[in-house]
Amino acid sequence: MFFLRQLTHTILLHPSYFGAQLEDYLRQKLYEDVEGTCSGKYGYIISVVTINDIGEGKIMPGTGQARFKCSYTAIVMKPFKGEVVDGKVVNVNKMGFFAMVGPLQVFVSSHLVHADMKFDPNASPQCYRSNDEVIQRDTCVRMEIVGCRIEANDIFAIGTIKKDFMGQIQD
Amino acid sequence: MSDDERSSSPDIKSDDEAPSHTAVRGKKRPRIADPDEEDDEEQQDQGGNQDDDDEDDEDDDDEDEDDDDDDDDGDRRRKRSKHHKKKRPANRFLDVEAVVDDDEEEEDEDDNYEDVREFIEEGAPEAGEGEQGHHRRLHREMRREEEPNIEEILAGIKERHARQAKYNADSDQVPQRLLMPGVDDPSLWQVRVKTGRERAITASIFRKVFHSTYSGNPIEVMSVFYRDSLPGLIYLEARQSAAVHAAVAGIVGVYLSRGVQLVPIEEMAPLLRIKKKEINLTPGMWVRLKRGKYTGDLAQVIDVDQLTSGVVGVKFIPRIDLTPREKKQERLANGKGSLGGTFRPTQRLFNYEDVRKIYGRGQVRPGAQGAYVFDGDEYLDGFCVKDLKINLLTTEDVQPTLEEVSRFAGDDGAGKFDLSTIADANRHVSSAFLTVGDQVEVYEGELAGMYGTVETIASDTISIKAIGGEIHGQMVEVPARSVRKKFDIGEHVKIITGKNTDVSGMIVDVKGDVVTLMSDQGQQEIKVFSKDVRKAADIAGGSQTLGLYDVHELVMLDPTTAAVIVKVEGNQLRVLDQNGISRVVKPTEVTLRRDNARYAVATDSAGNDMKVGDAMKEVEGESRRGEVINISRSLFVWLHNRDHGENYGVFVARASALVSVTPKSATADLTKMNPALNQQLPYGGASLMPPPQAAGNRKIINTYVVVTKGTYKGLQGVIKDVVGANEARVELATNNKTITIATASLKRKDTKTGATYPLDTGGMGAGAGGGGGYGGGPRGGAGGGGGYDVNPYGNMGPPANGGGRTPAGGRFGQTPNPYAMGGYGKTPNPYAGGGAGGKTPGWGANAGGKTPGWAGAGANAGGKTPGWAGSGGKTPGWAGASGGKTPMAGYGGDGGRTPGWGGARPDGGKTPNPYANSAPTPGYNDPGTSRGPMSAPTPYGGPSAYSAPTPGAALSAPTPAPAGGFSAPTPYSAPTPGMALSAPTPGIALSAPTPGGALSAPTPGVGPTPFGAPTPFGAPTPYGGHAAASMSHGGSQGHLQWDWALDFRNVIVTVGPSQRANSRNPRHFQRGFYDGKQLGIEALAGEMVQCRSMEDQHQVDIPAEYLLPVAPDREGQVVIVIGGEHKGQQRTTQYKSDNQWMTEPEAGDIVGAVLDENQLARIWRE
Repeated sequence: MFFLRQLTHTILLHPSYFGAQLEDYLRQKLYEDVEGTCSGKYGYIISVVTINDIGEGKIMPGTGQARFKCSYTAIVMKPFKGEVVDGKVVNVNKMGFFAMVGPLQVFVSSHLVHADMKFDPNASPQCYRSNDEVIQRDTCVRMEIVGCRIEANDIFAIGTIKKDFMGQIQD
Repeated sequence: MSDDERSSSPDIKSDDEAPSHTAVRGKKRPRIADPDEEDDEEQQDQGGNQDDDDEDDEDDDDEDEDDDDDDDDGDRRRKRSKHHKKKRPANRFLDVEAVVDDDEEEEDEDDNYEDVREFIEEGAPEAGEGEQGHHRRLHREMRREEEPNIEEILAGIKERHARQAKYNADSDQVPQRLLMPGVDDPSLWQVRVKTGRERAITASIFRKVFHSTYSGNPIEVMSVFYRDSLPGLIYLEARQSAAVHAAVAGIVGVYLSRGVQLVPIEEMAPLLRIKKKEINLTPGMWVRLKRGKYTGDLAQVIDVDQLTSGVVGVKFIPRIDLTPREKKQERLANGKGSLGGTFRPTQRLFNYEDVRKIYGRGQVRPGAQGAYVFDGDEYLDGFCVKDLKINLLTTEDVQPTLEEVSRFAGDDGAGKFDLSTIADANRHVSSAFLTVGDQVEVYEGELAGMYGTVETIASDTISIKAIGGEIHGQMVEVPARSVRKKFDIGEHVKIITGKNTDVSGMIVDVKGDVVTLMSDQGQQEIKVFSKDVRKAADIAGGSQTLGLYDVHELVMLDPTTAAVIVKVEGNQLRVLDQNGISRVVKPTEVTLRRDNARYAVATDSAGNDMKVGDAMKEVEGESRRGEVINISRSLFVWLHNRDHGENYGVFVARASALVSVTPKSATADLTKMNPALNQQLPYGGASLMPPPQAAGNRKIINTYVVVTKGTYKGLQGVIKDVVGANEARVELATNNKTITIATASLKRKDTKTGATYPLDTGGMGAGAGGGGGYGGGPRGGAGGGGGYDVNPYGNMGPPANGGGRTPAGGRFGQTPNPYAMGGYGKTPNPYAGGGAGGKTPGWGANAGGKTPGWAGAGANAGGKTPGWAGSGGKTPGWAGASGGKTPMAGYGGDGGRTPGWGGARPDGGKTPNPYANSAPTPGYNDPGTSRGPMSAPTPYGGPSAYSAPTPGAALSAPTPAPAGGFSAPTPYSAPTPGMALSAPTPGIALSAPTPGGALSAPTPGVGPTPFGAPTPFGAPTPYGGHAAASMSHGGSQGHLQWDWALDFRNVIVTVGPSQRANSRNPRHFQRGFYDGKQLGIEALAGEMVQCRSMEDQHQVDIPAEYLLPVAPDREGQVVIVIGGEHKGQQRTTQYKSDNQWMTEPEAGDIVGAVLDENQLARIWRE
């Protein structure tokens, strides 16, 4: 699920950056630092929408570096149990398949695939096949997240397609 | 006597058992209440029998038969003991008087237990013997009549009891305790024997002792026994160790050398105690096999019909050797035993076809109910079905694993087998695995199907808070054994026991007791019992840590071998070392390199640096991709990719065999844009600088040399290559041979003059620096080597060369350093700091020598760096500085005069020059000066300053402005001789209006400040204007530095007014005595120039500031260019036109250069 959330980020800036362009640096660095990262607490930071406050720089004793506490608003994505998501299959093996939902990797175990869907190791590329569906690399699938493993800076989810209206998205 | 019998009998000391091990009955015999002579004899007979039995045993190895014998034996004895009991009452009846005897005995042994026994036996018959004969009845009646005496009797009884009280504290135990051996009893002696031979040795001793019983000196050993549980030990009961020695003497397998040990009295009884094991086997139970090739294999009990006889039917997965028959026969021929031997075949279900193929039809025959008989064993449904004795099975602590059990179920997996049987096997531990807060499911009993959360745990019962259903929220107590943990799909759990301990993963399937989880670490599914799993914390569940050690951290296995942790296995770490070998180590065996990942960098095959976290790909081999997780020594890179199965996705590669998957973005690294950081690393980092020695040597390549020593002495050639530190390969001019020769035996030879100079890198470097400057400058980078070769200096002969060296240093040595005066004395030379002069004197010198090369490097943006060339060529001071003189001299030389300073900055060419855009602003700061005048206005231009990669912009920009900038710092306005350095350098403005130009600002005789910049020091800055002016004029009107003469020797000069700004000297040298006279420069002495008059050869020392060059006045004169981009070159005039001279083309020139008259000085002695 996507959220618009206000977050803060602390930037340490080397004294050599102090100057007229300091703010540009800070903005650039903020984007580079946070966009595309993931925090277990808030999820994936997709994009910084606005930088609300760049804060006052405080010189750190000893290093001379300045510390800026930037406050910004970003679009974050965090998966939840029970959420239905669409993703693209990136990897298929006998244990199941991996799908990417944006930055999030979702694993769908072969146990969580319809019983009539069988792994076909001989096909190229390998796929899960039933009478009317084929799930292989680059297939778009709709799945329900049944569990998330949330680490400090990574999120990994397990999904199921063993439910109605789940599975391959037919165009 | 056999193991079986003993293990099943409750006490080896019982009467039944004891005789079998008793060679000679000692004191205990008489204790039997009624010693019977006949019985005794029988006993001895039996002893003989036993002996026979034992002999049988020896002869016949068949254990079963032996057992039977023993059983028979035992039966007989049992009968006999019954017989005893029957006899006893009869005896008692007959021996009414004998009771008195007993009484007497009782008197004798007052404290003996017989006393008690007699008393009890006495009492007992009274009740039970009612139907005896009249005699007895009468007797009883008589006793009844004695009833009035009952008090007496009671008193007597009481008295007796009182006496017994000390024994009788707990009467049951008295006999047992009294049977305990004491000091008076024979001792037990422990003897070591060969393991496995205990039984035979025991029998031998028995026989030996028995035979000696009736000999002259019997062996006084009462009994011999051994215990199965104590292999290699037998025990003898004897009073003295001598008897033990006698008994075991001569028996093979007894290790008498290891001593005969006395068993302490208190240990004697425990030694003989047998723990009674409750063996409770039911079909379906899991057991393990103990013996043979199946040791440790799991088996299932299928038949307990013969349990009483100690045999159970089990089935297990056979291990049949399916290797080709010939091999097997070979093995058999080698005497390596029968099937199996030392070789242990793998577990595999019996397959008739396979076995028949290997062993032939004859070996396998079908049995009943689809079974097959092979090699004496029966195989049913692929399993081996066999009746085994219980003692060949382990029944306790079996703990079958899921893998083993599922093999019994066949390949179909968990579906077929009865989970309850495994659960049964594991049940007794289940409550231990519950913790408060666990989600559990009641799966049996009246609450079956209920879910709840564990609230409290007692030993056997737990209370759970029900979830759902009618009793939602209530607390219920259930037996711990009837619940199992409940997990949902998708939960993140951790395995807490078993071989996959500490693996965490997410549940993908739950079937009853078995959960399937997808491991976080490797791409694998693991099936485990739910009891072995607990919920993992949501956060940080994936990071497996063991103390300090975390997955993907770098550890050092030894000082040279690094490894990365790929998995934490219990108390051990699985690591992948730098050679790609995976191994398991203990944390104590390694040292952790914490934070290595944060700083480590390496260079990939494309020369880009990589850091931890970068996505890389192999350029060779399997082209594996992965994310860098650690780097060791910038050489070994560990990468991780979930898709790789082995080593949990971690693999190791060499840094040079990797390439970035994504092209490096130029803007990504902010540190790259940081001018300040870049400034610290000119030439792109000190590390890139070649080793000084090698660099120095390389410079002499292409030098024309003459060999001065050795067999090749006198031969001339060109240095083609440098070998090692001090050898060169010289291509000889004479015979086109290339020889390798020490540079020490080479001398530079000037092709024109034929003069030779030492090929000395240090001293000559200075001279070469000059030469390089002159020669190479005009040609930019291209003519670098050539500049060296055609050293115009060389043409001037030795004095000039010497001048090239000595005065260079000397001048700055003597001259008050302009910059030092300005407060720069303490500032480190930026160049020195930059790693050129300061670090490597040799480099500095040779850099000077090879200036064109540098010029090229420095000019790659601006194209030409005459300024640089100037500094290299014209700055002996620089060379001097490099050679060990004060760096400031070098600085001064450069900073003061270098027109191309900006371009010449080593990093200027490589990095975006931040000063480029600031050029048009008055705030221009020379990097050198910017260190001083910190009060100067902001040096940074617009935002684009950082993106402008053209130092050349600065170089070529019309920069009168610096004048303003330079007006700020004090040093420049100081009237130091250094200030005038730029004066006689007409070419300076032409090539690059750089700070150098500005530096020369205070030069007198220049026009008014065009910019009128109100400089802080009030010093007019005419030179800024002049620079601008000269720019506008192109090269037509350059201006010489006042000290130009200090760079040249052997030129003709004339004397004129001082050109030096603020000179302390009078305007005219010796009041104009020499004005207009032509003199030749002979040598330099500090700032004084030794001149020799052209007219009368009179020598005079004239300060350089009064000297002016003498321009050529006709064609064909040899001149030297003293300013401009061709500075230092030697030319020959061709014709003149408008104050400009066309010169003859030199080697490498297409056409001759057109040079300003003012920039030429005639050579004095050609």
